[in-house]
Amino acid sequence: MQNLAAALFRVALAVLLAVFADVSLAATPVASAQVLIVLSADAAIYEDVAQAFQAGLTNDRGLRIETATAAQLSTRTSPLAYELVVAVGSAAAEAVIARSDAMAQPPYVLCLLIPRQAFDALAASRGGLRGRRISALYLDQPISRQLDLMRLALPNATRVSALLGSSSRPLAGELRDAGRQRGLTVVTADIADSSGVYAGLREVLPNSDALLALPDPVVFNASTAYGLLLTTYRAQVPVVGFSEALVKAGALVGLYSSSKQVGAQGAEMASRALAPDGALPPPQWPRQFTVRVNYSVARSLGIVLPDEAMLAAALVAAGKAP
Amino acid sequence: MNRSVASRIACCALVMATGPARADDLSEREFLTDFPTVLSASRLRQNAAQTPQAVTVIDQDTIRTSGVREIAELFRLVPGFNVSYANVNGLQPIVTYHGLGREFFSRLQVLIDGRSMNNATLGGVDWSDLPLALDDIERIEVVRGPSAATQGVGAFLGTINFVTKHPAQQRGAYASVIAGGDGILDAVARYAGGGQAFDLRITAAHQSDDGFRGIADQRRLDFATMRGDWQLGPVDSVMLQAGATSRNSDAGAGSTFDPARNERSDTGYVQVRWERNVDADNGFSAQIYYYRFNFGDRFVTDPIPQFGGLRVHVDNGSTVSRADIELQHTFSIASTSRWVWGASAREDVAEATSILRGDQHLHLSRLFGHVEWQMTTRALLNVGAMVEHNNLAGTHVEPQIAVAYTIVPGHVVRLGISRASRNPTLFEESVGSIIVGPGGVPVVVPGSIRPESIASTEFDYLGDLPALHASVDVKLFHDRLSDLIALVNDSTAFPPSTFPRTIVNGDGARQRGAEAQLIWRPLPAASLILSVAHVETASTDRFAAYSTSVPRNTLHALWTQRFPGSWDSAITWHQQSGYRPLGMTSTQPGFGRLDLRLARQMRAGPTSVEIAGVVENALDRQYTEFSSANVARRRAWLSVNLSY
Repeated sequence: MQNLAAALFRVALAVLLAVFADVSLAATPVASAQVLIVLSADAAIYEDVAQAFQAGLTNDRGLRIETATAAQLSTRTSPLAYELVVAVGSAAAEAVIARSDAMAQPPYVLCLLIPRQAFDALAASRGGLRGRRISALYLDQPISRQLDLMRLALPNATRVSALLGSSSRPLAGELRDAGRQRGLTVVTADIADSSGVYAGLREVLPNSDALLALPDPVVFNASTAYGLLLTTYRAQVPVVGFSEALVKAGALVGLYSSSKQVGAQGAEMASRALAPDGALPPPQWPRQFTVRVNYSVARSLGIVLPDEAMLAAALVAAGKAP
Repeated sequence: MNRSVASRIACCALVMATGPARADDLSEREFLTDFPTVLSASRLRQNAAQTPQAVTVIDQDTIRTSGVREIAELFRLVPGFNVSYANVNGLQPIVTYHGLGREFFSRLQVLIDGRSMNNATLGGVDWSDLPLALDDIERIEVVRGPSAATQGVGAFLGTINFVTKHPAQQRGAYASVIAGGDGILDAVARYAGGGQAFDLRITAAHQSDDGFRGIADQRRLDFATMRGDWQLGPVDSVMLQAGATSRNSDAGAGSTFDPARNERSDTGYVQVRWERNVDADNGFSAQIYYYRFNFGDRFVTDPIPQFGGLRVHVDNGSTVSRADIELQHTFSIASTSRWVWGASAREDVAEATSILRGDQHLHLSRLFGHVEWQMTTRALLNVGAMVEHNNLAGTHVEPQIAVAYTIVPGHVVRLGISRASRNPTLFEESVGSIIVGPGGVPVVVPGSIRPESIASTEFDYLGDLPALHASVDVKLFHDRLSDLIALVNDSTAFPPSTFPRTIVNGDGARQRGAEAQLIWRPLPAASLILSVAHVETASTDRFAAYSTSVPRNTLHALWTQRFPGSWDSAITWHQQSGYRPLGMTSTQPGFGRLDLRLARQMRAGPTSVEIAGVVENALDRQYTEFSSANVARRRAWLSVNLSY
């Protein structure tokens, strides 16, 4: 009975905390809560990552874990009295880093579900990571891995093209280097705004065997997806995509980390930070990823592709090769 | 990641609302956004090795680089096809596959984005009325063989399926003008634009030419079309198309009964299609369209001496309308089988005082299904059937089966068998008929003609030779046709009409032969499309000369070459042996024809300009088309395209 009463109390407290999070936390910072997960918004994808993170966390010390949203955090006045704050998504990262800046002894901050460029920009705007206790698990896949996937899926492809908008332009050098290492010719076109996508495609498609899609709001958005995928398909140039949705829409193959995979690797990084004498690992690329193939598109283009799992395994092997 | 789509969208909306910075900054949103299923089953073209029978795809590049201005000319490049020009309702292209055609019908199904363009009265296609600008065509899929199970009613000898471009690919303004000899003047103006979830295209065009020299067969066609595409959500989309055409053609042989005159046709259509594409293999679509064709040809004959100088009033006009609804469900089981099934209903109403007895109604319903099953990694089975019922011809089943086997990757052989029937057209149903009994004794029974049927067997080889930059498609076929419906001119009819008045259901035919297409890209800047066909036809030929209605040998070659400095060139050679279209007394002799095109593309910022010159029949071989009066000569034109 006592246990039940205690459980009920905890539930009631959790509800109260959730409803009056800012007020109650401001009044009494809870000393026993050592991990705070901050979600960018109250949405399924962030909750999925948080759930996977909690499931994967080595919690020998019985650490208490709390969850809040970025909006709740911004109304809070108290310092972040936690050992570790996990920010899920870019908005959460920004809110958490802004808050921890003011502190003399800031907590570890681990950013999940954030693109590398967004994280780098954020870190740079706050004076870099030096001396800071901030790290991240990037959401995007390293370019070398994307090119490896392209080579596995399209062994005969020697020319790869990419459309670069303002967000993806900084990757041009890295793309060319990674291409050169693999004996690939890289063709790029700079896109100033979404209306320039077709002109860009006209420029690169005649000289490409595949188009590498790099996430960029100017290049890939709801209004350009149709024209982009139809035009590349018409030119019989397969697209290597960066998300499950893009593969479903019509890319040939795609590479991404699922919320489970992000949560699991994030938990691993957090466990190392929370271990006795542990430290927060530096920012890193996702080690776990998922390969998706649009077999309908493959069939139509006359491309025979191996199993998704086999492609993923081959990709892991390619990543380990010297 | 398996949460519902709705929650993901909600998430994206929230990210936008609470996002770290401006909307064009990179955040996780780019990785999480849902995109619509762009490459859905209806947009993906089937790989040639996956189809149950031989298919030729004519893509936009071929359309553009070949330099044709008449859509029908494109089918010369398809093995086994034959193109000619006859005078029926004005000058009309006639497109047939394996012959057996005459001026009113060709036993082919022609679709534009799923709308049947076959004329309900006569069964043929009014090619001079097509509401279709060449530059709006995404690709043309030509199914060479009976394909009712997959292509629908009327796919007796084959199917031509025009797929138009999604307006999202055409954003901007486009204008083109073609002007040349023999009164050639074509113009197209197009605008396409849109927003996040909406795309619209509006095209207006004019086409005119003087036809053959020395014949009153001038044509003037004006049309306007629109297509709007709404993306309602990640899986749902709606397409709306509408258009109207208006044509004026000179007609008439200038004889007593067929005076020189002007004919007019007006058509209009509207089509709505809803699609739910969960992914490329799973979805649902519903489509409804209405099409109306109005042909006006009223005239008074010259005074007829035998009738004491009396003039006869003739009305050859007709009005046809078609309403059609179709539902289709596509799904996959495991990754090895893909299923399509659906149903459709159609009503054709035709009114043609001179050839039909009162208003004629055709109610037609069908149920269809087919499955593509990858039995092993090498063997692919295609099975399909259509059950069709109509109020005039009853119910029949049209099955199809094909097995494709990959010998080694890139080399596929296929054996296919299919059956199809062609119902008598409203015209054929309506006129006096003669049924030939088992003993060969003709019996006159009006309005009770049996459907024609075909049993087709084909053996194909599809080769992909990447080392040679070539692909090959070879088809060997053996088709048995029975109960062929013939139109026989009745000399006792008065006044003698251009339309035969008697229908006979008596002959059979056997066709066998081989056809092949080679696509070769020896250099990145050069390509060759070579099509050859040899068709042998045997028939009792009692009521129509079927056995001579097909050119025995045809060869068509299109060589395109790009040169530095944005120059483009094309050389086309057409060669075919003689044949005699059904209903004609004279043979169309064999001919060879050379077409040339030279184009230059220029670009300045977002504006691109293409200037091209085309010479058709450059050697000026004066061969005849269909009738001996239609003499083809050298023609040349210039075209200017501007897109912004």
